[in-house]
Amino acid sequence: MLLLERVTVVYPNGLKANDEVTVEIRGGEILALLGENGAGKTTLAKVAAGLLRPTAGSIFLDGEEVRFESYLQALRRGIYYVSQEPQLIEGLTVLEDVGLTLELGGRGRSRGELRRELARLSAKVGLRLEPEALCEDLSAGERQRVEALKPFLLGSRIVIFDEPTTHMSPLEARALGEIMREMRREGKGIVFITHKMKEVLELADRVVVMRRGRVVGELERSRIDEARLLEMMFGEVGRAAKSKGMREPGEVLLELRDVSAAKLRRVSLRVSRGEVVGVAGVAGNGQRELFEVIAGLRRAEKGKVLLGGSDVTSKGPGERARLGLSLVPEDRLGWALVPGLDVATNVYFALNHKRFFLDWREVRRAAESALSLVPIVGSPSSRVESLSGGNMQRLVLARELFREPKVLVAMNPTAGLDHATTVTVREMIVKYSERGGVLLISEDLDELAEMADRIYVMSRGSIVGEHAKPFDLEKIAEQMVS
Amino acid sequence: MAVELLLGALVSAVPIMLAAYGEMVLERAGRVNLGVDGMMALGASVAVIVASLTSPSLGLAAGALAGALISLLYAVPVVYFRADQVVAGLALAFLSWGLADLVATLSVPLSAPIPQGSALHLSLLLLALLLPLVLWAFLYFTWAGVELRAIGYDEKAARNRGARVERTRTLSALFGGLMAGLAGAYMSLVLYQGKYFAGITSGWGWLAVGSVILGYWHPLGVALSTYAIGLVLSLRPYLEALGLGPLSVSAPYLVVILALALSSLLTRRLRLRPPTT
Repeated sequence: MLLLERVTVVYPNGLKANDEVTVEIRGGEILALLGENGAGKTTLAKVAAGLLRPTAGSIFLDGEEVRFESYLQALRRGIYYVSQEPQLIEGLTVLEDVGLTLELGGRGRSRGELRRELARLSAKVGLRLEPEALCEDLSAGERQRVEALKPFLLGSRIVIFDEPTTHMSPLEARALGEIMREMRREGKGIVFITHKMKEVLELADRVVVMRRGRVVGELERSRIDEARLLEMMFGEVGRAAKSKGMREPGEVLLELRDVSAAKLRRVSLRVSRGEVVGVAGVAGNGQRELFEVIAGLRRAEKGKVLLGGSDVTSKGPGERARLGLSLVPEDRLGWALVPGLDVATNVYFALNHKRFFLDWREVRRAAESALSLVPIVGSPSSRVESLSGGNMQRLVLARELFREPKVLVAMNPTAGLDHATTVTVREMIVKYSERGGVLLISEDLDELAEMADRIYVMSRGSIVGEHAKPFDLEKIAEQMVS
Repeated sequence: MAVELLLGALVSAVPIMLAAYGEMVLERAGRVNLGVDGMMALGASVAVIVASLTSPSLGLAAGALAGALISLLYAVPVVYFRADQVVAGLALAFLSWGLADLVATLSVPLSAPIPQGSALHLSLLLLALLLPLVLWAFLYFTWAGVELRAIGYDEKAARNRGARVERTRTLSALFGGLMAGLAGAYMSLVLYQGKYFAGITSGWGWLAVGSVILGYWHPLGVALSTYAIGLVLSLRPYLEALGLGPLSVSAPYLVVILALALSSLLTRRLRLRPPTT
């Protein structure tokens, strides 16, 4: 149905994101586009959807060559792209948002008609939908599913999902799988971008594997097997991070005493040198507030925060950083990294320097030595927002570890990362804990079990349990929802 | 007396209302034009000159058209060349004030007025009262209105979804200029009985900009907020009689500032969300 032939995309910074990629999308089939972060999957999808114009190569729709000048043109020719962070427009209602897409896609209809059709369709795909709800009140998973409804109403023939399950619960992911199968029954061509092996094995009729901007392999349904796919993705089979042996923890580096603030209720915890301390919990139970209180961005209404023995309760983030606190926040861009600045400046920015004038050679040197800790794809002079999510996280980690902190506090450090980066990130954090203390706030219980020496369980803003190795995961999960 | 006061407030609120409706639409599309007061001055001056040569109704139309035309000097750099909207708006204000005075030297800035209570005047009052309903229907019950709001809420997301950002914003800026020009023409032809003089707007364009925020970017809210300001303006003589002369001059501006602080408390409950400008 849609053929992308020898597509090459070179970004203005010289990064070759796609290198002569040829992929065919067929009707009535789910095609999985598999590869780790930065392999060029999203770039290819954006070319297909008219969001990016390729540097070279051709696109054929039903055998006829097309040139999409805009997303709107692709939309009107029956291609629908669901981006990784589904961009419903905050401020509009669900009905308005869906209606706007239909209007722009040349399939406009009245509010009344749309309301009826939404009700019918929601029943079909098993999704309860309140048309008058505001888009900003929807969870990421719900937004993704609202997006998934649009191609039915638009009559799109090709639907591209870009890592749709990143923010979904397993239940939501399964429901989305059903929607994809329904689309396949209707003869649509579905492209499913992912780096999760399990989803590929469950859903795909055909798999195209990408690595470093190139297609490195293609397998039909009957020949899909995990080991071969992994080999194609990584070149060599990826290893899992080894859990470390037991060590005696050293002096206490970070301590919270009876801290209350916003959602937090009398939270006490301590992190000592040489240990990784986990905080488990279902998202939204105060983890973000905990991170902010430790970072110095939110004031503790009651209680004390101690860093390396000194009271920092009333100190700001800058002072805490000087005392040896390093942060790996959940939001890479806009919190950990400043968009618009290049890689080197982003590294240098976070180091505490007192001189008035900048020495650009020194900036570069600092960046290079930081990046020697964790290599990234991309040069010190590339802008941070051009990096892939995985490379951003590597950069953040490289910078924070380069500062030789006393305590590293990380929140969901591997969310949305591919297998290879996840392994690197976990290894680096565990290795660092030999020299300092780590507080790992994570929604991924398996990650905590693998890395942590001790786990606190958080629920509704309180610490409801503390566990030592070996972990009783069932008990922890039970406390998480208590 | 009360009826007289309420009606008088409407008569003097009309220019602020008209200009604010225009600015509101542009702000809903995600841009601010700080040149409103200048565009009003230009509308006032062009209206008087054209009216003195032809007729008051043609003067009114010419004033509106002048506002629309001059707004292109804001729209093109800001929308197509990504110029800074604050700088462009202020530059437009200063340019238009100067241009207004220049136009006024072309002929004697005196014309037959639009008499208060005439059919033409009443139709302008009606326009000021009905336009918010029309704009409300447009913004909330047409897809073009949804597109405009979407662009204001999240430009990037809307663009990625295929919304026509440039076209929508240019048209909104033109509408803003048209309304500001009309507002200025009303000031010179109705309120000042066919006279133009330098500084005729006495900062009412700025009141219009403030009242958009005060009305929380909602057509009906803006109608109310601008009328409230008109009311405060009409109370001036009474304040002066009470010996509060200096206060009476700054009263409307003071009300704007106070109400701005209060309005943010209400908005969450009303499910309103300001556009990102």
